[in-house]
Amino acid sequence: MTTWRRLIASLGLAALVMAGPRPINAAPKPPRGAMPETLVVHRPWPPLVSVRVFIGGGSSLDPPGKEGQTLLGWTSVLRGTKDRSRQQWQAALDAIGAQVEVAVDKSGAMLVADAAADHVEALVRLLAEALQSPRFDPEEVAAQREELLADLQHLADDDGALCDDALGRYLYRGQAVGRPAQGSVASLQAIAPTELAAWHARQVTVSNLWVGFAGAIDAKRAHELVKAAFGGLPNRAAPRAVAVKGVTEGRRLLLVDKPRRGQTQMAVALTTVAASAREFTALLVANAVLGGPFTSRVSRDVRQLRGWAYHAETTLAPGMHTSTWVATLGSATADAVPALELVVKLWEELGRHGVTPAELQFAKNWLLGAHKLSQETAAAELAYQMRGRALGMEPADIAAIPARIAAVDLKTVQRTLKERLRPEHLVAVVTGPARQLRDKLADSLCQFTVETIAADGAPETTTGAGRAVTSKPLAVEATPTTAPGEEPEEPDVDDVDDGADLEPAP
Amino acid sequence: MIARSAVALLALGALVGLVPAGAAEADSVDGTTGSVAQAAAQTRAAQLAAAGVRGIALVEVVPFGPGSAERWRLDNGLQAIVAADDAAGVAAVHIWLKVGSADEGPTKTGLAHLLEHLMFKGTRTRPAGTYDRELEAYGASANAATWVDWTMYHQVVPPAAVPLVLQMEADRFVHLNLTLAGVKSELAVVQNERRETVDSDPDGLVAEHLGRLLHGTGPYGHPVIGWAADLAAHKRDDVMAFYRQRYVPGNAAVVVTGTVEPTAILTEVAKTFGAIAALPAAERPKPTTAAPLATEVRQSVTIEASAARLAVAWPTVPRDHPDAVALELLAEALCGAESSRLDRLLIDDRRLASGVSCQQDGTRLPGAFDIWVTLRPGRKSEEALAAVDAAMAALLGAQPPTAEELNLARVRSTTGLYRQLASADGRADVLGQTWAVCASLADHAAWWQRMAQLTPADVSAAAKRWLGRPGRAVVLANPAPPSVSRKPGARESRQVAAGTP
Repeated sequence: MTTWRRLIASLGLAALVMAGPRPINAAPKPPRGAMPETLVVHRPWPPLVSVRVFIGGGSSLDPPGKEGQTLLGWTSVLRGTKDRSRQQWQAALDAIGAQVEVAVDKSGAMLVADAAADHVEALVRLLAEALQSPRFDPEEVAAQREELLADLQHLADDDGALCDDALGRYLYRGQAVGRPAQGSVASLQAIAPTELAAWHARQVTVSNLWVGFAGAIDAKRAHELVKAAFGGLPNRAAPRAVAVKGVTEGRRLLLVDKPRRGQTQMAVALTTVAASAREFTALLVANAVLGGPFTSRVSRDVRQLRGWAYHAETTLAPGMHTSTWVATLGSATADAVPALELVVKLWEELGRHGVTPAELQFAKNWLLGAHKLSQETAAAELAYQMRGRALGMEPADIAAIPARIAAVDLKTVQRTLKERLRPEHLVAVVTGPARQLRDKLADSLCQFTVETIAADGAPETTTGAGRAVTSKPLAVEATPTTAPGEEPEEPDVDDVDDGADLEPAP
Repeated sequence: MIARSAVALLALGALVGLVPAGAAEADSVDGTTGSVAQAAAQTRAAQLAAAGVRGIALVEVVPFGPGSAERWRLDNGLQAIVAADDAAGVAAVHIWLKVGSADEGPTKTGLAHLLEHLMFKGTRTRPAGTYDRELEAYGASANAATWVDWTMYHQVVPPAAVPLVLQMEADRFVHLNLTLAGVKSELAVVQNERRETVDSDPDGLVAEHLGRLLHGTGPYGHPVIGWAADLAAHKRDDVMAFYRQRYVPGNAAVVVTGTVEPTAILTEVAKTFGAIAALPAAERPKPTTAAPLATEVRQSVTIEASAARLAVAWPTVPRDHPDAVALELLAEALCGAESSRLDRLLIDDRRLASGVSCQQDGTRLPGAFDIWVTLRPGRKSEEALAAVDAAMAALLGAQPPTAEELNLARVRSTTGLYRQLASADGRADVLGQTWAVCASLADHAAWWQRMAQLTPADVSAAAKRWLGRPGRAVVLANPAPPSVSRKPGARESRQVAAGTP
């Protein structure tokens, strides 16, 4: 076991890439042609090539009652093709020493694979085969469903992950993006293999796919591989993800009961402007002051000075329609409420008083320096570029991000905080022993409306199957994310929401 | 002096592509074979001497990553390892210490890790927070890690910031200044870390039980983060005593990789760390090869989790034992991919598990070969143990590892090495860890060379020698039955209290 002094603070780099000026809700672009867009970041050493395939249209497109369809779909794609059984396909992948991981979020899916340079052609062929001609064998889909159901249960074992997951659903409850990407027991069981085949046919089109290469491969070779492997994709309009709205329901807190835990995990969030908004860059800088690096206000006051948490930081997660500003921390149960109050207070003070000139300069230096350092490897640079492209940013927009950060001035930051930071609408999730926490949270200075559920009910709460064991003063609502019978909007690749979370779990 | 065969190096280069053209001809420092890298290092030695840099001598030059790595020794015993390349555009600076949790005494568990945290609390000339602040101005983020055999501090910075990092590292290496309040708050941080990663984490708890069963009161028998009771009792004086005994030049190496100029780096290391007085280091636990367990030891625990866990460990060998690489290759062959033997059996065929992993510890003292299984909800760890036992019996009997299994494992391992070496930080990790656990940097290449040469018979023989023994540790961790009603805070009767020895 390696124990770390502290968790690496989020650098907000995923956020950086979303800061482009491209207008949201742009008209659908015509199909780009017969080939998927291909990005290449070349580095001659080591002899390794990372391949990323992004497919637009994420879990926010899952129909009500079929939450988890996108995840089940993409993971099932890797379980056999029309020409090869799962075992044969997997054996071919293993034979070249390659790994493939799948990440799905509300806006899309990313397949991330790598292999030694000698094997990249075989890897691309295997990926293309899986993407273009999946078998969706009922037995394999059932087996994959079983794995996802097990993952759902395992989620409850990891308090931090449970807290993050619950926040995503609780913050955006009532919206399509508030649906759980991993589905629920009931929704996963309701998805038929034939539905996956129909979903797949809609999603996999030339204009909805980006392919990226990083490492020991040049652009010419990469384009040749894409042409050979993906040349047969249908060429039609791509689906469109549904919009996300800002959350302004006042302060509320969901307490997820873990009766015997001595440690409490907390996440506090608010929604703010879209990544494409002019003010977003100013908020990035403000986030760096609040909870970015180790010497930021939250880390200093919660961790360094008081020892109240092993990790305490804030992240500004960008979205195309609305961005999410989140603080996360874990404290001993006895310290949890004061720690939460302190974080809320720091947020309120940031909104009231803004940042100092010295903090502004420091935050800009940190963001710009971290951005440069983070681009060291080809795989990291490709990931950065693809996130931006998947959100509709042009290469010039991506390249302009550092200059935009450098140009932010104090006046802009202060004005943006006054106008866009809305701490009166903070939403929190706390996982810990409800018996010890509930009354303290309800009485805390933060003035949250507190709702309590059992840990095993949490994953299903926003889809209607949650189990409210106690409530004070409000019971958890079983909130359908979409009206019964309502279908998602016709998807369009130009309208996807953020892809900031599209990294496979380590 | 290190002297190795040029032929062997070329063979390794062919396997893992680590040796650039022209750099693999030789690596000895005795001057008998010569190479571009060797000549460059000798030239550097002359340049350092001409520039008046005294008290530093070349120890070895090895092909490494996109170029080569040089190891130098200061007169006070501190080592400087530099691997420069043009590709990165960044520099990684690591400080590695041959100090880990295995060096802690009874009741002092967790001290090495606590000290690692406290090293960020400032010096006489740099108050708390200064270290982080200086690095963050460059966009860098400093961190550290503690393991049974070592402690390391690492940061990735722009090349221009390397001199500043070295100055700050040398400063805190000798001038750590701890206040009572600083120790108190950081101790609370570590206690939070323990609650988060062990007491509230089913896998962390199982790991702690397994380590204690396997190693007893030996150097690896307690958790790196320490027992909760020991942690609570640590005082500033304990930390400072440990610091003074263990943070001495003879126990430390500075590792710098990336876009740097080696002569300038070595000059800076000599200027900063070279001024530190040589001091004797406290004695470390002695390596042995004796397996401590003669019979199986087994523990059943109840965990607050959705699914059961199984952990099985056989005492095996230290990293420098000839069988270590065979056992590591076997671990990769058994559990390294979805089509590997134990994955297929436990996840696909029997549908018992949602995850399985195997590993051979790469430790300085005798380690272990572990198999970990996360079961599917509703399945018992005893079921997994029966399946694992059957699979291991077959492995040691009628179904030994095949050439195909081992070849695939080699390919995966090689790809994994490429991933690690892609970044300057990853390259510094490899060099630092090799130095901390092995005799010389050349052991890294030798390891991969040995892996390339292993036959199924070699691996099978190693498996029989170490995994066919009765002595092993087994932790069967099952969730509490859902029907059992418990009061909040109640502890299962068979559950060992977390965080206590």
